Parts: sequence; structure tokens; C-alpha cells
Amino acid sequence: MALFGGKGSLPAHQGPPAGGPQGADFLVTRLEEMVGWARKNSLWPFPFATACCGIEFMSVAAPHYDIARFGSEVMRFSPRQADLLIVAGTVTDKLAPVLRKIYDQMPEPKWVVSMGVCASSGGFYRAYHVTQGIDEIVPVDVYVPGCPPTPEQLIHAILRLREKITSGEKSRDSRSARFAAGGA
Amino acid sequence: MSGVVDVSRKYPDKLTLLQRLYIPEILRGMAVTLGHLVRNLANYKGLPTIFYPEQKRNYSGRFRGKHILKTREDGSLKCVACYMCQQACPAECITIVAGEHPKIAYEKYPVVFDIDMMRCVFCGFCVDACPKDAIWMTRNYEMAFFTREDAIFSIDRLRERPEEILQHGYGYRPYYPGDGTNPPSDASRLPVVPGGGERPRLRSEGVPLPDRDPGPGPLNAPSQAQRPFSA
Amino acid sequence: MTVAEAGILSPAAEKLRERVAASPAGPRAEVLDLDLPTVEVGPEDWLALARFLRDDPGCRYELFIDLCGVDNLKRRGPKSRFETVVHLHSFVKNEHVRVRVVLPDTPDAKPTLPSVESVWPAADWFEREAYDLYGFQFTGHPNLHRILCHDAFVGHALRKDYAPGQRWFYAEEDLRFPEWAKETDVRAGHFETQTISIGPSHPATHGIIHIVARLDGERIVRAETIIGYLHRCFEKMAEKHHWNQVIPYTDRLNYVSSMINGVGYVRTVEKMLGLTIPDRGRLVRTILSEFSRIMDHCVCIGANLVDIGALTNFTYLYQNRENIYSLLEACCGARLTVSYVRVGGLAIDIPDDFDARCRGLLESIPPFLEDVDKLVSNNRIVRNRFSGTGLVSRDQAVAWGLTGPMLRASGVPYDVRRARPYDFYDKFDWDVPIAQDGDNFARYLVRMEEMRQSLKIIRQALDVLPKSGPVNSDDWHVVLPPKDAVYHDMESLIYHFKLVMEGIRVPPGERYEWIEGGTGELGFYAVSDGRGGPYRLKVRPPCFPNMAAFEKMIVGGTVSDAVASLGTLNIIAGELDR
Repeated sequence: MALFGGKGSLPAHQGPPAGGPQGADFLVTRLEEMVGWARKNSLWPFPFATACCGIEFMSVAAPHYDIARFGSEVMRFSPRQADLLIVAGTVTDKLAPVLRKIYDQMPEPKWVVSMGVCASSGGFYRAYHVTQGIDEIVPVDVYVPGCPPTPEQLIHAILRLREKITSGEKSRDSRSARFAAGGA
Repeated sequence: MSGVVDVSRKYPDKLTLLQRLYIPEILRGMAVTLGHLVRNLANYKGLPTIFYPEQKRNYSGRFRGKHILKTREDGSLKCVACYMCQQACPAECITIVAGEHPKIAYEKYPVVFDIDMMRCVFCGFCVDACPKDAIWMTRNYEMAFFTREDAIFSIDRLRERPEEILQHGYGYRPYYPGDGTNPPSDASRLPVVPGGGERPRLRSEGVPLPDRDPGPGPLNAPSQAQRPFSA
Repeated sequence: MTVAEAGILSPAAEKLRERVAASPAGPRAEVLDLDLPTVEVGPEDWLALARFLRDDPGCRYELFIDLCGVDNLKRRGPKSRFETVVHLHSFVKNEHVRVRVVLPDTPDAKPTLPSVESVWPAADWFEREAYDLYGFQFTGHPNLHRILCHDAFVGHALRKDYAPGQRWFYAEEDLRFPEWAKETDVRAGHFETQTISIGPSHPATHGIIHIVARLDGERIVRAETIIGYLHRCFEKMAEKHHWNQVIPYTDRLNYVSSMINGVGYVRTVEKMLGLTIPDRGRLVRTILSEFSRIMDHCVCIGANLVDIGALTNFTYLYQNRENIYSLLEACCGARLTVSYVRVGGLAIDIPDDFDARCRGLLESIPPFLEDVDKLVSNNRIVRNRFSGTGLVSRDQAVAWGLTGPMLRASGVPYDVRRARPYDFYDKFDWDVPIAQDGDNFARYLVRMEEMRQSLKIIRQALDVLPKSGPVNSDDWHVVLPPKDAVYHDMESLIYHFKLVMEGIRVPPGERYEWIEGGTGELGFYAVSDGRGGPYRLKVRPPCFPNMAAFEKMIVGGTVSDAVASLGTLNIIAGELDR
């Protein structure tokens, strides 16, 4: 992995996700490293932009921060052609089936980034029409706090997602593993 | 009508023959876009793109990022668990459990002080509400979590640490060194480019960040402009 | 005996009382002189009074501003539990009026009143919203269904006996498609029209709008918009929080110009308190509001041009936004959702280099606008897509309740900053841009010119901005005292404690204050019962009637014209759905 250069740094208290190279119960072979490298460098986002985080996502796509530097040159508005679902903004109960449908329509491999606190937990809308976190509906790989997260924060989250992609772990595995272990 | 400008006829309704031919318009448009391209290639350092994570944007000293709990000289938290930040928070993301402090002068201390970063909207109301200078915000925005449980920051992750401040810097805070009525935002240290608009300066260009180097002495020294409290 | 008790009314209210006395509702209507002249009627007289108010030459309240409900269950004083509050505007008299329809209590708590959609078509969606959130039955309404909450929702959310967090499960099958969408429609003997959904997840529907359109080939023959996909219950959240705590929620209404919403909201509260803000604070609010307006128009034009394929302009206009973000971040610490205002002034004072930064922006914004102009304004493709599409005539614009650039592009020079100046707008030399054609190109031109006028206002405001001085009112009953006083002085600490724990005590009453938002007249109707937070807070969202007009605008055009027109509406879903 050092061959291809890892950008970004991890804060000391949070290591790579379990199930990765060091906590492994599976082997990461050379071929899977190559595949992981290819996947992480060509993430095509599906911007499911609903609210203010959508505007910050547009800032990430704009020349000031330029997500195209990480391989996300094209925003694919068709779920069939995208592999990264970025849920940017509040998801309401009315929109929840739409989100689930979009997620189901995306082909494997796919990852989900929950951008902003509204998408991750409902934010400060503890209300009658707001889904309290999209993990009620879809499995989430990376949660990004912030209201809205600054573009650097989103890029930082995408860099951490890239580490997760390289490790080969999928979020469903970690959740089901935690459930099986009796955790929350 | 005075004070009203009618822009309907700013551009003629009917396009001229040259404009309708479209090729001259293409060339004129390409002159604009190629002009940008050439200017950017010639002035690579002036590109607006910030190459995160190698380059980081200089946010101001008022940036509302991750919170820190300030400490006294002996290392204990300044927080007296008065619950004002919990009350002021519109997102109800702060959970405090108070305990009895061994020193009578301080009365209470927080046994539990949790901020759920997945609920926090980074509005800064907690900083405004604190009467004890106990909670500040930093310029640290580098948080991303794989699980929601990981996002609940308790005292060990919120406590102020010198290495975090050295790396990121202080942000939104209630009490500013110097004039207490007009908080500086460090912006005066950022050079303003005349004619080109203000472009955020990059750390790689060697602009010194204020408050980054605490100077001689520990972080909690009186030189950091903390006055002793009566309590 | 107070002036109100003596029955002495202000001239405006006195004139209104004369006219109302001549109306069919005359004997039973009561005219009050609150912050606005107010008429109180019962539901049986409402429709006749509505027609009179619109048509009588002495009234001419043609522009429908707002309709909302109020639930008086937890409030002492009002005569009945439910009331409907309507605001109207007259261009001729340049004033607003409020009508309160007092709904008598019914045993099943289902108050009924006539729909005024036949008088003002703009009332259509407002009445649907009042039905959705309060359960008012509007008789004669063409399409009385839920609009904001989803279709499996049980109960009426803004009633005081509805728990704020009570959610209902909703599945895709529960979506109510319009009745006409389910019929088959065969044209010319053998061509069947097709009904499709444009959205809710669509690159061109900014935010999430769902348009159900019946197509005959490429032409739209009928359309209906389904909104509510971002209904985040702002008004219920406002009832749960203190006055200052609502400010972060207001930021997220029109999130592309968040400062303006905050200014509108705190002005309402400050007027209820009778508070004066120092000039410096008001000027800073004006300057930052105008920068926010520029940001709003940049996003609108940029996204609109992206929808028709002109991608480069988005990058140029976004550079303007990034530069303004630097300024906002230097002032308050956040780029987008600034939460910079507080009731009584601003959260903290402006930085020392505010003037230098603003002047730098005044230099850097016009070149990008000129670049976009060169690329777009004489471009044949843009002209073909924009000119002649999305036509809205002057009468249609007024009947549909449009405000903002949509109304001004149809030839009506109504701008709140000019009609009812606030925060020094009448002291500066600037023009209101209008256009006559009412098509998409006219709206594009109006917005470009508005950005230039905003730059003019900012330049003049910077010239008069005092270098130092307070930005906040010094009334510690409302504004948090300075921190060094709180740390050392007992009285300041007590004020600080009371404000944080209990909120600002606003005297009981109601107020409607309105300002010019990026998309039109943004109004806040606040009702206080003396507690620390709003009893009722209604946002008059400028996008709401604009969006309601959309389904009428696009009939007869093609799908691609609809996409171009949707961009010019500048729909911000946070404001539309609240």
C-alpha cells in the first residue's frame, strides 16, 4: 500500500477499521490490493444532495477543492453508474423509500458516505418527519460530522473511506460482526 | 420610474448575424475560457485549488470546529458542571453528569461530559453560554467515523491537549487576548491580494499561524491572558 | 385608558375600518390596530370579505402573501382554539394587511372555513399546508391533500397536542399520486399520453422536487408538483426552543444565503421587544445580507446553466461563493450556516480587517460576472433555451403570489427593500432591476443586474461603516453581557444565567416582519406568550408560491423547457419545505 502512497493521516486514537490488515480474519492478497487500489482511485459519487450539505458538496466539486483530484471527475446521477453514494443533507421519512431504492439500484461494490449530522443522526431535527440517521435504511461506511462539514472534512472522510476500501472490508460485515458479538 | 432599471433591452432581442452564425461566439467564448487556462498555467501558485491534504486552508481564529475542555494549572477541568452549555445547545448534544469536587471552592465537576458529534451542529452556543471559560472550539475539523458510537466524545477526547492545539490551533472562543470587546480573528495576519480578491493562504507558503506556538511556558500560563477567577 | 382601548386607530387602520364597514362583512368584522391593521372575521364572512379586499378600489389587496394557522390551546386570551391568519399586500397603497379568521370551536376539532383559492390562486398551496399541519377543512378547495408531511402521516403535526418527535412509518406504496395521473388519455385516436415522474432524485431538481407530468410526446400537457421531501419541521422545532436557539434553524432555511434568514428572524423579535440596534450592527447586517444575496444568485444562475449544459459558468460563479465564504468565516467561524446574528445585534464583533476583505471582494467579484456574461448573454443556444420559455405575464405573476426576481422579471417593481426600507436601504443610491418579458432570460438578466446593484449597495455601506463602536444593543435583558463582565461581575452573571436558562422574555403579542430574501419576500410571523421561546413561528417562504406557479408555467412546453424554467425559480428546498 505504501507503494501507491497513502495520503492523509489518521488521528492517533482511531486506527483503521477492524477486519483490516492487522485485525484480519482474511488475507489481503496482492490481487486484492490492486483491485482495492483501482476501486479507491476511481470512486464515482452519486450525490444524493438534499439540503445544505449538498451545497458544500458542490463546493467540493468546484475548483476550490476539486474532488476530481481523487478520481471522482464525474458525478454520476444514475445509480447504475455510480459506486459511492454520498447522502448529503437531511433525509426525511418521505424521502427514505427513495433513498433505499437508489441504494438498491446501485450495483456492487458500493459504499455509502453519510455527510453531515442530519444524514448521520437526524442532527438537531428531533422531529416528526425526519429520519434519525440514514443507517435506519442503508448501511453506512463513513459518517462525517459537521453542519455542514467543511469541504476538507468531506475529503478527509473520503480518504478514510479509501483506507477502508483498500482493506476490503464492507460496512455490512462490521455491523453484522458487531451484532453477532453482542455489541450495539 | 426613478430607482428602477429595466434590463429587458440590455441585450438586443434579435441576435446579429455573426452571433447567429455561432462560430464567432464560440471563439469569443473560448477566448474567455482559454484565457483562464493560460493565466492559471502561467501562475500555478495562484491557482485557487487547495490541494488537501498536503495543503490546508488557513481558517480564521474564529473557526467553529471540534470543542475542547479547558484545564486549570493543575490539569483539572475548568468546567463546574453548571449545565449552561447543555441548556443552550439547540441540538441537545451535550450530556453532563455532575459530581462533588473535593475542593470546596470549586463545588462541582463533570463526572461525565459527552458531546455527541453526530448531533452537534457546531453553532458555538455552548461557548457563548459558558460562564467559566471552560469550553472552547478549535480549528480541528478532521473527524470522520466508521460507527456512530465512535462519535460520542467524552472527557478524554475533549480535554485540551497541547499537540492538538499545535497541530490545529484555537478557534471560536469567548475570551480573546487583548481587547475584550472586539475579538480579533487573526485575519489581519493574512495578506490581502489587491485586485485579485482575498485568497486563503496556505500553510505550505510559510504563513505563521497565530496561537499555534504557545511560546515559552505551559499553555495555561497567565501569558495566555487568563485572569485568575475569584472562585 | 390606552390608545387601543379608547378605540383610536392609526390612519391606516382607520381607513381600513371605513372600507371594511362598506364590505359585505361589515357589521361582523372587527378592525384592530396591531403591528399591522388587522381585520377579524368569522369563517362565514371570509370569502365575501376576501373578494372585497381584492377588488374594492380603496383596498386592492392583490398580492397574496401568507396563510397560516395558529393553535391557541396553550395560550390565554384568544377567543377560540384555532385561527387562520392571512397576510395580503396592496401595490397601490403599498401596505400589508392581516386578516384573522377566528374559527369557532367544534367538538371534533375539525374547523371549517371556505377556501379563497378562487380569489387568489396563490392560496392553493398555503391552504393545503394549513390542512396538513392543522387539519383545517377548506371547503371549495380543488385539491385538499397533504403537501408537506408524507401520505401515511396520521394527525396534524403543528397542533399543540401533537408530540414533536412522533414519527410514522412510510413506504413507497403510500405515495399519493394525483388522480389524473392514473387515468389513461388517448389523443388523436391512437396516441396515448404518458405520465412520468421527474424527480425526486434528479440532477436538475435542486433539492428534491417531484414533478408528475403527463406528456404528449415531448410536450407537457398537465403537471403537478409533489413537495415535502425536505420537510424538517422547522416550525415545530421553533416552538421547542428559545428565541436565540431558533437562529441555527433559520440558517438552514434558505441555506445558500443563510445570513438573510437570520436577519429577517431577529428583526421580528427585536420589533416585538421594541429594541434599537446600533447603526454599526445594522450596517454590518446589510453588508453581509447583500453578500449573501450575491451568493444566492451565483448558485441560482450557476445551477441553472449547468442544467442546460453550460458547465463552465458554475466554476466561475462558485469562485465568488468561495471568496465570500472566506469573509463569512473570518467574521463568525462558519462558511455556510453562519448563525452570526443574535436578537439584539450580532454574535461577535466584526474582525479588524473587515473593510479590507470586503473591498477585496468588491474587486474580485465583477470579473467573474463579466466572464459569465461574455459566455452566456449573446450565446445562441442559451437564447434559444431561455427566451420565450417559462413565460409568466404580469397578471399571472400577481395572481400566483410571486415575489422577488420572478415578479420583477414580469414587470412589477416590488422589492421590499424599496417598498418598506429597513437597515439603511433608503439611504443608499441603488436601483431595482425589472424586466418586461417574464421569460427565463429576463429572470437571468434581473439576477445578474441585482448582483451588480448589491455590489453598489455594499460599496456605499462600507463608506459609512463606523470603524469602531458597539454592534449589539446594550440591554442585558436581551443580549448576553460581555464575557469579562460575566466572569467578574455578579449582575452580569445573573443576566447571563437568566438569558441562557430561560431565554428572552418577549412580551405577549404577535408580529409579522418581512424583508427581501434572495428569492422574494421572506416574512416571519411570530406569536409570543411571554415565555422564553416562540409560541408560534411561521416562515413565509418566498419559494413556496414560486414553486406552486411552476406546475402552471410549464404546461404546453417541453420537458427541456421545464428543466430550464425550474432553474430560474431558484427553489431552495430548505425554505420550500421548511
